[in-house]
Amino acid sequence: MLNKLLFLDRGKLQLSIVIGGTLLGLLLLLIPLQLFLDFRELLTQKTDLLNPQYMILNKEVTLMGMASDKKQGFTSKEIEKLKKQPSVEEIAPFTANNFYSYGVLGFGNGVPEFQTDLFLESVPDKFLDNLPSNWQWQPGKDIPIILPTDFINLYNFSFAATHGLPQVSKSVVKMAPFKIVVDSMGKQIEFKAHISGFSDRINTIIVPLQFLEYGNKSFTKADGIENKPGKIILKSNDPTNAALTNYIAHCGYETNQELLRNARLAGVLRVVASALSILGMLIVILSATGFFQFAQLVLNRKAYEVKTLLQLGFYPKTIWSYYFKIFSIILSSVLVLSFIIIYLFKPWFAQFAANYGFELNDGVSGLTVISGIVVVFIYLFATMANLWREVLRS
Amino acid sequence: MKIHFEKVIPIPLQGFVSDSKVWATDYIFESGKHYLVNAESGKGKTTLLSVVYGLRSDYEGSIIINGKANKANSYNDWAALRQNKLSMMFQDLRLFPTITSLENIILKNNLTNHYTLDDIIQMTKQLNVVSLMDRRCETLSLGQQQRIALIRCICQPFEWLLLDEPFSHLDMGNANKCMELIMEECRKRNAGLILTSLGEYIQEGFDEKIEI
Repeated sequence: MLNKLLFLDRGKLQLSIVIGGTLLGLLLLLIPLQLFLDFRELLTQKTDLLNPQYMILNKEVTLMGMASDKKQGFTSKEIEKLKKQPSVEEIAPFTANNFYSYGVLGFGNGVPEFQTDLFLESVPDKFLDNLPSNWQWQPGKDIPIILPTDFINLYNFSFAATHGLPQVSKSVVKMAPFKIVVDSMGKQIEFKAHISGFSDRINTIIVPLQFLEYGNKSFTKADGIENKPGKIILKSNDPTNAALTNYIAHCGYETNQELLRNARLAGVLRVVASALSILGMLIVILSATGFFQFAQLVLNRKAYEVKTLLQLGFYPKTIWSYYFKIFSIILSSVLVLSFIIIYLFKPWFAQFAANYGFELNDGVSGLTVISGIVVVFIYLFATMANLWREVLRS
Repeated sequence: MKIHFEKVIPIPLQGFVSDSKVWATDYIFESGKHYLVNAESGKGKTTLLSVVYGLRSDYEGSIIINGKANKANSYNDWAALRQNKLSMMFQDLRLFPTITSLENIILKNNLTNHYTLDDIIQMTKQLNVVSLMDRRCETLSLGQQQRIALIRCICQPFEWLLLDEPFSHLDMGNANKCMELIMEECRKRNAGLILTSLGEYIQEGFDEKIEI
């Protein structure tokens, strides 16, 4: 019976508008919050796809450097300093061959052989993605080699096409007989080798560290110049860390441009998500005001009824509880509706983001759910505190 | 339960009352007695009932009911008093226009479940309004509404029944039926009655008549 007396017998349109407005406000707060959480997760997770956890640094080749006789490289002091920078987890120099070597690739049976001077490099195993199963070397065994994926792409799509040569697949390349020939005091020593994998991360020819250590010890050129490492690989738990990128720029080191672009992108995303959240908060305040006014309007319209019920002997608490029930139901429906929309929206957005190479999960974060509940609770608290005052005033 | 007026003078009436039996003097309404308050308009009949019932507090002096001053009552005290001790029929009736007559009565009765539906129907028969039970109050004449409001204020326990010009829109016959019901209900509860009137036809059956 109170329902007939105390709630809107008309004004269903107003109720719908208020529900729509509150829902919109809530969504505009919760969706940017959810996206912010998603992208933050994306930027700190341990996948190789986007994540610039590994950085390869080298020194910029300058005119001065070219003129000098010395090769440019990292001193151990510089490496130590770099290691101490924030968010740096591990660091290792590239080991390069300090001896002359060339490679021969041939399929036999009259197919022309490739022969090329080779540079070989190595990093500790833990820095490699796609570590092949037989990534070990000892004298008398084949040398496994990892090539950059870019090499085979360059051959297939640029070189082979213009020279009328056949394109080869990765598996064919892996089967190709390959030799590394080392020059030792004028003597040519052949090592059997095979391509055992491809790396996206490291853009150079990688062999096991054991072989380079062996080779550098056994075949080093007589000039005795010690090579400073020209490149280092760095693992960071937050490569977008501003202090780190600033330090790298300050020292004049160069790093993968794409990684820097990703870091920039991450920064932009953060700014956009924050801006949207602030906007969302403003809209929530606006929609809270709307809801508050709506509750006030309902009570004003029912001022006669409320006053008369009190005069008939109803307790103020009875009337207030009735409104508490009504507004709780409205607000929890709005909350549930907003969760449903977010749950439906999320997989759709994840799909959308996947087209741009971002792997978001389909779920909704606990923090988003809690924020929604807290915001709605604040709405209800403010509204009901006001209504209590209004009921007593009647 | 006595109602004790201690030098009560409503602020709007200051300077306008002289020789009043109730205002600006000490007066006690004895429990169980029936009072008829006669006065022309503007002498404070409605004010008298309103200050007793706690609708107004713009007066000087104090009204003591059951040993407690009216002004000291909280919202909850008033709700409890109005559910169990005091019942009032307002001059402007204050029915809810958009619900039916029966709903108006039941809304009040549900607070204390004082009467059964059968009891209520019996009373509506007694006052010739049983056929109006399913009609929204806004569609009724004032005389019909007056009888609905009377039944509504009877649907609760009370020690004092306060009626503010309850017969003003009724003909003699209906007024007499209403008076019968009022007396019967007061007798059942051993309750006091204060009835205000402009001095119309019903003048009998009271213990005391007050001119204010």
